[in-house]
Amino acid sequence: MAPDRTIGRYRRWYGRLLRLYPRPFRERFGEPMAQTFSDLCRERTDANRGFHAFALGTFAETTAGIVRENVSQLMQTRAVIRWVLITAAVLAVPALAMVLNLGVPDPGSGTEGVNWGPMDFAIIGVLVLGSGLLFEYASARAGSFAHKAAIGIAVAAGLFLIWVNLAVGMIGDEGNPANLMYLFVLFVALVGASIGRFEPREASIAMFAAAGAQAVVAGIALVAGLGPELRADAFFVAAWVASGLLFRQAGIEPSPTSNTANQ
Amino acid sequence: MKTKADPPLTPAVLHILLALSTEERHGYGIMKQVERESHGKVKMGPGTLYGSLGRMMDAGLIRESDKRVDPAMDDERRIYYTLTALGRKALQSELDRYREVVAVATEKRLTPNAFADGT
Repeated sequence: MAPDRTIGRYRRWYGRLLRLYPRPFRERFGEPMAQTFSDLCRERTDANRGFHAFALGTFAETTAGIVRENVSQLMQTRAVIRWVLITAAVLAVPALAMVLNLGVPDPGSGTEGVNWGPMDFAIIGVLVLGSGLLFEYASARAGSFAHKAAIGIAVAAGLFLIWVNLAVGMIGDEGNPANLMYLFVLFVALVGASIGRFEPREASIAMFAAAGAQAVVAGIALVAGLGPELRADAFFVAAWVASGLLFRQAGIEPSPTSNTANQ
Repeated sequence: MKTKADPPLTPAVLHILLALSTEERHGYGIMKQVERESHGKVKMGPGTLYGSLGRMMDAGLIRESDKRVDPAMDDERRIYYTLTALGRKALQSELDRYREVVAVATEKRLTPNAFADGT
């Protein structure tokens, strides 16, 4: 039989997991779901069978429900249509340039003109659409302009960091494996902000940490003589810091959503 | 003859409607009733159950009844759910559809073991 302390811990974790549901769903069903989980825990402990496996299975099943409800909520808004149109507009630029044979001279490679393959369109399409939907998801909870701006800058910085690395590379060229170090920066920003559910205080710490990570990566590349593009690094450090400051500002400003969220 | 049939219900929705057809139940009560009625073949987790309840409430098939204590469990107050007239009608239509399918199968002498030999 699982001890009460273990059950209490699982209940607390389950309560935290429920916070990932869209707010309207959480307000409607959060309490009954936590209650049902407690009932199931009691049933399992009374029957004295597989408590940990049951708890993990329920967590996985609820996680699937969380994904479903978030996607469903996103699809109900016009956000998806808006970002599909924006993505199409972004992809139309290189497509038109190829059709009309317009080009930007590239002294580095000696080539001229835009020559994107299907994979280029697919990658950029996924990046732009994914970033847009991430922004919509994260900013749905934002109550102030500063909060939304902070999320927007962070998402844009992440998108451009990937884009630049795929296109030309921050260190050397796009094929240089040293550029993989920048994944660490994205990891710090995304995981840090996600853990804090994009709430201002937690996200501001994550953004400052991402700025630090960006500077550390640039420093490593400099010391190792890899020839980093320091101006680009400085630009991204500034973007992460700006986002962090805006998150901090949003945490100070009273917002209607932050008041109701704690009720 | 019907000109426009109700769309078929998902298995989860059908099981929940069946569970609520005899009495009002709370979430855990619905889960247990579905498990009993399906002889343990259908087990719903909280994610599936409450996701379905939300959609069913939005569609007007069920509604919250009240919040009260279940004397068989503990002293916590629970939200009970009950069928609406639309929910009863949807369940009736679905059961009629199943009866028609069974009638056709019976007419064709398709017993449960009809395809047991793999032909």
